[in-house]
Amino acid sequence: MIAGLVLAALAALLPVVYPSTVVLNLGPQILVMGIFAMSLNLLIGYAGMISFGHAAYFGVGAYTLGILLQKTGVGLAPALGLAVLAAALAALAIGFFCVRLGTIYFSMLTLAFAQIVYTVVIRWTSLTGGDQGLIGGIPVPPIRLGALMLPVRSPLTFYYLSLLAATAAFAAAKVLVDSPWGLLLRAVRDNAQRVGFLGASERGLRLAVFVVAGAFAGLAGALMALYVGGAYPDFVYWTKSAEPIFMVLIGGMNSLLGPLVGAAILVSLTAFITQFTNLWGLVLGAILIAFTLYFKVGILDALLRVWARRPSRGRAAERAAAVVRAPSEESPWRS
Amino acid sequence: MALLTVDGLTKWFGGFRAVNGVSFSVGPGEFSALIGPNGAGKTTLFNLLTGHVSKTAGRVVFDGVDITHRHAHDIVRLGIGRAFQRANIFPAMTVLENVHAAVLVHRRWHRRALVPARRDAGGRARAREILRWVHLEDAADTLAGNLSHGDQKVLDIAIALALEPKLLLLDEPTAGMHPEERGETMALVRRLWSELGMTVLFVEHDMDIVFGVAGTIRVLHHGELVAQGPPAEISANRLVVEAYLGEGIL
Amino acid sequence: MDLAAFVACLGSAACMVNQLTSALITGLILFLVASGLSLIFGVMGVLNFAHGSLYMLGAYFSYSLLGLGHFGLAAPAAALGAGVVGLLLERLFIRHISGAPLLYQLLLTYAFILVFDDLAKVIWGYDFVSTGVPEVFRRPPVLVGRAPVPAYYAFIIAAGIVVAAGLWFLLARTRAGKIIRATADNPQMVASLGINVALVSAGVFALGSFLAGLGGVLAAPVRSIFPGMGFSILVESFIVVVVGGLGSMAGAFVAALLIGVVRAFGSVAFPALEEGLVFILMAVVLLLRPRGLLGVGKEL
Repeated sequence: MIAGLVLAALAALLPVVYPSTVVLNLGPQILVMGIFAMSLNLLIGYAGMISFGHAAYFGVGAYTLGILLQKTGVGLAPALGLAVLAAALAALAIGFFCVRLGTIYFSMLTLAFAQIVYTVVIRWTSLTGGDQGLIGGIPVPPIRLGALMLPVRSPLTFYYLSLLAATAAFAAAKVLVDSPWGLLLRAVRDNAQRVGFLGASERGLRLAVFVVAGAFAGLAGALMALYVGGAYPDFVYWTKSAEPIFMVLIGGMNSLLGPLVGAAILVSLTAFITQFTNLWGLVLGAILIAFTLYFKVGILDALLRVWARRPSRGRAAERAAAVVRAPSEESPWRS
Repeated sequence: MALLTVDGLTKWFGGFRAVNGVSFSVGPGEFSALIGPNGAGKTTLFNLLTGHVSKTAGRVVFDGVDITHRHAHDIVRLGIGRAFQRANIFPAMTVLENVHAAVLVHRRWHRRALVPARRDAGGRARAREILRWVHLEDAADTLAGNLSHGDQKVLDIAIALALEPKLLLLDEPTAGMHPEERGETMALVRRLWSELGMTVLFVEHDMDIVFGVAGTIRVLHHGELVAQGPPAEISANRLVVEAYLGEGIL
Repeated sequence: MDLAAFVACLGSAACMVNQLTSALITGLILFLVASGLSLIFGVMGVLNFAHGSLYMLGAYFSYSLLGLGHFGLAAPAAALGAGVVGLLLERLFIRHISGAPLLYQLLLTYAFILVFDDLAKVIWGYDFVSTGVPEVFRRPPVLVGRAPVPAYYAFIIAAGIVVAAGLWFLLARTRAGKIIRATADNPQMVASLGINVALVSAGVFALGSFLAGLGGVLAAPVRSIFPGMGFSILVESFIVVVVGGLGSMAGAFVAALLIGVVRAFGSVAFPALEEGLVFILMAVVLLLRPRGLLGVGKEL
C-alpha cells in the first residue's frame, strides 16, 4: 500500500516537475488501462480464474456512461457510479453461468459471453449506435470544485482525475486482497476443492471476485469513454480483452501493481509501434508467445524476486518475498 | 451412544457397485483403522461420509443428526474432518496462511473484506498453536508447495484440525512417506486421539502400523464390510486373509 | 418475432428443404471445426484457441489454390495445408508447454490468434475476398422433391457426412483410433505400453487442424473470407463443446446440428435474434445439464 501511495504522490507531481504532452497523453491511458488490467489480475493472479472476456465489463461501463451523459441529464459523478454498477450487474449475470464449471469451461464461457455482449452492442443500434459507436460523442459537463470549473476533457484535468480514480481503485483492491476474503480467494486459486472441504463456498467466492473485477473494469471503461469522448464496439471486442491479459502477463501477476507496470509497457509500446506498422496484433502476439514459452515471469515479479534475494534488507525484503509467490512444482493452475 | 452410525450404505457408479450395504458404528473416542485391498471402496466410503459423493442407498447418522442428504459444507460444519491421500493443501500460500484460512472459515470470518487478515491476531495465534502441535511451526513462513511431501501431509492434517472436528477421517496419512517419517506421522495421528480426544478413523496399507496401533479394525473388500473387531480377531479371520491373498501382508 | 412465417415455412416443402439445407451446412461445417477442437482437447488436454485461425487458413489456402487448379485438388491440398500448419504449431510451440500450468497453455494458443490474423492481413490483405462457387459445381441444382438445392450445397452436405462418418470409423474401428482414445483416457498407461505419446499428440493435433481447415475450405465459397473470420467460428465451437460436452464426438455432432437447426429455423421465427438464439441455447444447457448433453465425466 505504501509503495502504491508513494507512486501516486510521485505521479501527482510529475506534470508539475516535467510538463510534457507525452506524460499528459500517455499518463491517463496508462492509469485507466492499469485499472482495467488490475481488475483482470484479481481474477487471474489472485483467484486463478482465466477470463478471456473481460472487455465485456469495460465496454458496459463505457457505454453506460456514454448513454447516460448523452441521453439523460445525469451528472458526471452519478454517471460514473451507475456505469460501475451496470458493469457489476453484467458481471453478476455472466459470472453466474461461468463460475459453475471448472477452469477450462470458464475460459471458454467468458469468451463466448463477451461475444454476446459484443453482439448486443452491434445490433442494438438505437441504443448504442451499432458499429459506429455512440454517435455524437459524449457531452461532458465540467467538474465544479468550489468556484473552479474544470473542463474534464482538458489533458491536465483528466490526468488528475484518472490518477485519483486509479489511486482509489488500487487502494480499494489492496484492502480487499489483504483481507480474510482475499486470503480465501487465493486458497480457491490454489485448491478450490479443498476450500469446499473447509466448509466455505468456492463458487460464492468466485462469483464475488468476478463481480468485483467486473466493477473495476467498468470504472476503467467509463473513464476511457470520458477520455476519448465516445464509446465504440471495439471496447467490447475480443482484442480488447487481450490487452489486459498482455499487461498482467508481462507486468506480473503476483501483485496489484504488476499489471500497472504492464499497462505502462503496453501503452508505450503501442504508441511507439503504431508509428511504424499497423500490425500491432502480430507484435503483441509474438511478445505473448515469447513470454509464455520463455520468460514466464512478469517484469515486476522478476524485479521483486531479485530484490527479495538481497541480504539484510529486513522486513521490506520479507514482504517483497511474500508478495512474489515463487512458483513451485505444484502450480496453482494445474488443470 | 455411537458418534457415527452407518446403515446399509451403498453406492453405484454406473454399472459398478463401489460400496455395498456397509453398516457399522463408530463410538466416541474410538481409534480405528479401515483396511482393504486397492479398489475396495475405502476412499469412496470416505467420500460418501463427507457428502462429496451422493449416496445410492443407506443412511448416515452423525452425532445424532441424520446427514444422509446433507451437503458437504454442512457436514464439515457438523464436525466431520478429513485429510487426504494426496496432500490437499494450498501450495502458493505459506504454511501459516494455509491453516489460518481454515481457522477463518471455521470462525465464519472468511467473508470479511475490509480488514487485513494479518491483523487477525486471534486467528493467527490459533493457527500457530496448531502448527506447534504438529511440529510445523518452524515452517510457518515457507510456501506450502515447497515443503517435503511428508510435511505436506502433516499440513493437510493441521488444516483439518483447524476446523475442530469431532470425527477425523484420515485417508492414508503415511502414504508416500519414508519409513522414519511414517513412525512420526503415526505418532502424531495417535496423539490426535490420546491428547486431543478426537475420534479417528484412518485408512492405512501398512499393516505393521495398523496392527500396532489401532483399537478396532474394519476390513472392506469389493465394497463390502467383511470383518470388524480388535486386531487379534482380524488377523485370525479367514475371510480377511483371503481378501489379501497374494498380497502377503498378514 | 415472426411466428406466422415460421408456421408457413413448416408447411411449405420448399421452405423446409431450404432451411434444412441451411441447417445442415451450418451444422456440418461447425461439426468439422468443433470436432477437431474437442479431439485435441480430449487427447492432449490442450484447449486450442487458435483453432478458428486454422479454419481461416483453410479458407485462405483454398482461395489461393483454387486460382491454380481444380477444386478436387485445391480443396484437399488446402485442408492438408491447415493440417501441416497445425502440426508445426504443435511441434514447434505447443509441446513445450505440455507440462506447464494451464494459464500458459491457454495464453499461447490465444496469442496465435493475434499472430495469424495479422499474418493474413499481410499475405492476403485487409479486405474481404471470396472464391465464389468452384467451376465444377456451377451446374443445375439438385432437386429434392420439387425443391432445388444448389449443387455446391449438396456437395458440402455430402462431404460433411462422409468426413463425419470417416472420423467415426477412424476412432471407433481402427487401431489408430483405439490408440487415440486410449491416450485420451490415460496417457501414462499408453506410454508404458510402448506407444509414442508425442507422436499420437502430434498426429491428433494435425488431424484436428486438418478438420478445422477442411471446414474453412468447404465454407470458403459460401462465406466471405477475411482476417479474423476464425473468431466467430471459434466461439461457436466453444458453444458446441459446452452444449455437447467436451471430449464427446457424438455430443459435438448432435450439438453442431442442433445449432444449425436453431440458426436456420430460428432466423425464420425470430429474425432479429439470430445469433442470440444460439447463445440462449447455450445458457439453457448450462443451467440444466452443465456437463453438456452427452458430456463425458472428465473433471474440468
